[in-house]
Amino acid sequence: MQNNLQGEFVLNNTTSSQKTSEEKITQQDTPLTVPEQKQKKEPVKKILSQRVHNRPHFFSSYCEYPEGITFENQNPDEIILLLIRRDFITNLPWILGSILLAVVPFALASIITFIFPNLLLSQTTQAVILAFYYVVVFGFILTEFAIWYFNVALVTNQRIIDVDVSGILFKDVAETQLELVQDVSYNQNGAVRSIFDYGDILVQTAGTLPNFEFDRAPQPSSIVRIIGNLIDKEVNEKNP
Amino acid sequence: MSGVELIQQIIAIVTNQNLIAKGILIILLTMYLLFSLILSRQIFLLNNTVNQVTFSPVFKLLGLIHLVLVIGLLFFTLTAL
Repeated sequence: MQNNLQGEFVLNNTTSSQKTSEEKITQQDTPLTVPEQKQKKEPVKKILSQRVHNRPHFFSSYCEYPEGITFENQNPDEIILLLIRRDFITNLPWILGSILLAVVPFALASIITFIFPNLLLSQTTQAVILAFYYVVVFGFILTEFAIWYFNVALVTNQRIIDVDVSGILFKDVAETQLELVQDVSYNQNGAVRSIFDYGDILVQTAGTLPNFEFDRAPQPSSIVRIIGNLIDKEVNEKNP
Repeated sequence: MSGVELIQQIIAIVTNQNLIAKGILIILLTMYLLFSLILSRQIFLLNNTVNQVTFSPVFKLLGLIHLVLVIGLLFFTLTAL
């Protein structure tokens, strides 16, 4: 993320992983404060044209300027700056569980005939039972994936939206305007989180408004920096 | 039908493993059909909340395929078994 000449914060055209180490050092050296020089409001189209949008995959857990993403109640001039999901590596337990469930019938085939020698089910019945089992496994995969996929946080140029799906029947959508965000911090505890670079991000809002927590978000330092810059920008716009 | 015949018929049903399996399958599939209906509906609704243009239709299709598989399996169990 860098400032352009007008003081508008823009994300770099390349992703952070593509940047050279030299660029990274330059970025780290750049103070994360908003320049005092204020800018005139640019038309949205012009702002958009200055940035390269990324098209997220279905398994993307972090995307700057995601293209082809829309959400409920999106304002016409609202631009999504960040798409955040739980780090994809956190899906590993259920992916491994699904693989295990998929191979269980083959492993149990010989054991079942040994345990139940008097089991006399027709081939068709056995086939239907097996098919039902795999449909249930498919349903399990769909449910787990849906819970991960729809647990999403969106940072736009106007607000922060947090969609929490704790089960397939439980959806909780919360949002706050950027001007109401007071502080943003993250914690990254443990070896696994450090290795895969993900952590919990806490967005604190003003007064009695509920705080936001992005659970196990990837690249937490980048997210915190971007949201921090947006807060600074809001503050500077209000108090020039 | 005499009492003995009735008892013999009941014993025939109880000892017919395929019939018992069919009954259990129908009950389980009916319950699972409800779950798959809810899952499919939720996938549609949640895709309206956050819509990813390239993947949302695929995800909705996967939800529908799951639902169709359950209906097909229930239909097959009712008719063919």
